[in-house]
Amino acid sequence: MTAALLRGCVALAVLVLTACASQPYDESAEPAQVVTKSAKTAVTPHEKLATSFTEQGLFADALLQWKILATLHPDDARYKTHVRQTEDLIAKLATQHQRVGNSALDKGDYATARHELLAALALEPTRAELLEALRRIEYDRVWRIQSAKLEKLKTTEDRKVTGVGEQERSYFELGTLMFREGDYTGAVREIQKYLNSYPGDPQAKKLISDAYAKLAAQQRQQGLLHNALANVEQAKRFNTDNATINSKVEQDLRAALADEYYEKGLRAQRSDLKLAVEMFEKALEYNPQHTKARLKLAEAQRMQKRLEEIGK
Amino acid sequence: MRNALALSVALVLCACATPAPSGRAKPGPESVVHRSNDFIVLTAAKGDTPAALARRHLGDAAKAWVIEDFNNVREFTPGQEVVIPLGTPNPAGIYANGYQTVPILCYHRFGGDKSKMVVTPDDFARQMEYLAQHDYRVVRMSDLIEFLQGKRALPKRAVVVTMDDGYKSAYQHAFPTLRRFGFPATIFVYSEYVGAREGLTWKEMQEMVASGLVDIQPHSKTHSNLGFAQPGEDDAAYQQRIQAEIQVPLRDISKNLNIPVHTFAYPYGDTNKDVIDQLKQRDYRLAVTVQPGSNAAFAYPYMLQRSMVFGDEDLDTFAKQLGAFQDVDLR
Repeated sequence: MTAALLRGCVALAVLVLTACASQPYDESAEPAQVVTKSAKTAVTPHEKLATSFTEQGLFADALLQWKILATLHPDDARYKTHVRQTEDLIAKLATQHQRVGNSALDKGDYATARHELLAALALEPTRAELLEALRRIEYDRVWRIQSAKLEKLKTTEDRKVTGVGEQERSYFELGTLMFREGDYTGAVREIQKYLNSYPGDPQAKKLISDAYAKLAAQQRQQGLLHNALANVEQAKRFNTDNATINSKVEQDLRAALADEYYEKGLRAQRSDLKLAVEMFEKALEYNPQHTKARLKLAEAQRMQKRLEEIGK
Repeated sequence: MRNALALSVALVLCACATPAPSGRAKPGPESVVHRSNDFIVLTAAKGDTPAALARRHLGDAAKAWVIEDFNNVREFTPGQEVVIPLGTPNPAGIYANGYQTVPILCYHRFGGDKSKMVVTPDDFARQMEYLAQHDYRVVRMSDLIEFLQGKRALPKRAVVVTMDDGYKSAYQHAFPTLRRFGFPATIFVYSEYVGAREGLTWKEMQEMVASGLVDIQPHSKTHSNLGFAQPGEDDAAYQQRIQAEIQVPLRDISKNLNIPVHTFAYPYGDTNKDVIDQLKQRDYRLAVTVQPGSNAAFAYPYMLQRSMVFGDEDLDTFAKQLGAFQDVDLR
């Protein structure tokens, strides 16, 4: 059934139902029941409203009005009849809309399908299967938008990014501001948030590398050598050409860390040979050229072996 | 057209009103005219308010909006006819002249230095005042779960307020305003930012949750983009990252706040089928993007649209994001 034919059916139904609803209200037909004054006076306006809604093709609204009238006059059979007739019409029209909608859906005509399924739901708002059918169309719509965005993000790797999303742009701007204000931790966090979406943007990679380098320098001064070295490595990861992170900076940090572990090893050698070996090995990990650490490691290992033999 | 219809209903209902006879001033069951499975129709007595009638007849004063929306009035005059729907005649909010949509607003930071992503406390207060003055009803994110299943109606002009990332400014600036208006909001936090210099602490979140207004929900572990694998990340590592980004905040929120977790906010609004599959496995019920727009009852629950509220926009622009009804002639 086409949408045009469906509209014809609706018009016919309006004529029939309006004719029924427009019959003059017969006071004598009212059953002998106790009805309050306010209930009596309420009848005509609701009835007018129900009739008007029917004429306009607003059947769901008309049904509510008939149901209110049936509530006010539970013993008046006419209102029950109106309720039943309107419900029957609604069920028929909703099924027709659904059929047209499903057919359009099969043909891939989403616009028509959407309109017809919505029309069916407007008539029968509690039909869960209609809601699900509409949801499938909606899923397709939002998914197409999301896929297009992801596709755009994938193509921005390792080149200057244009058309950046509002949210990401703001993270980048905030990161830049924090860098200028000397909040390098905050700068790293915000620029990383930008890079999460645009991992190849050279400008952002350079900025985050500089922020890591600045953090490393601060931590070196505070004696936080491990953190400083980790940040130097991060700075190099984002920008291998970072001028502030030349090989000497990293070598100096590694040498300082090696010295620190060497000293710890010396202190441990007197009481805990196992720990001393660990410390000297760490020192060599950071600086394989640390001759003193190499000698002391050999010495500690010899002593350890001797003690084990005595123990046997 | 919908407004005209509502107005005509209101006019008719007002015309029905008859003055309350003397001696019927006290509110109570004596004002009930009739009851059916579908409706209660009664005559309002002196002192009857939508909340009082909702408490008496629907068992919950918070359902006052059901009576207000059906009768298209916010208060009653004695003698006025009031129709109380007993069921949920239109849970999806779909009518012959269009359908209900629920806008979800997305804020980030609040503060004095106004910028795109920073809304000033004054602007936020003005925006909340706008909602209150224009009959918007701020509902909870979790209210959308049943609305999207077609099981629960929401008030006309329902709107959801959310805030991303978990900035401390949400506690300092937004929370007092939410309290002033009694508006609920959902804050999406990412685990690694909790306790950071400008990040919310668990204690602050506990206080806000205890108010009954604020809900805390996950926004990932590290705020990485879940929509695609990072350079050099193989599929196994990528899947593992998605899992951690979804699971860790769920665990953290459950442990520190002891509240149910139901909605995930994708960092940058980006997602894909793998991410959605993992959310479903972890029993998340909803997830939000940053695709601008409002959500009908048939929206896909794992890709709900949200409109970002920017600090450099005026009140008119804010108002344009509050689309709560989509006009379509469906007759």
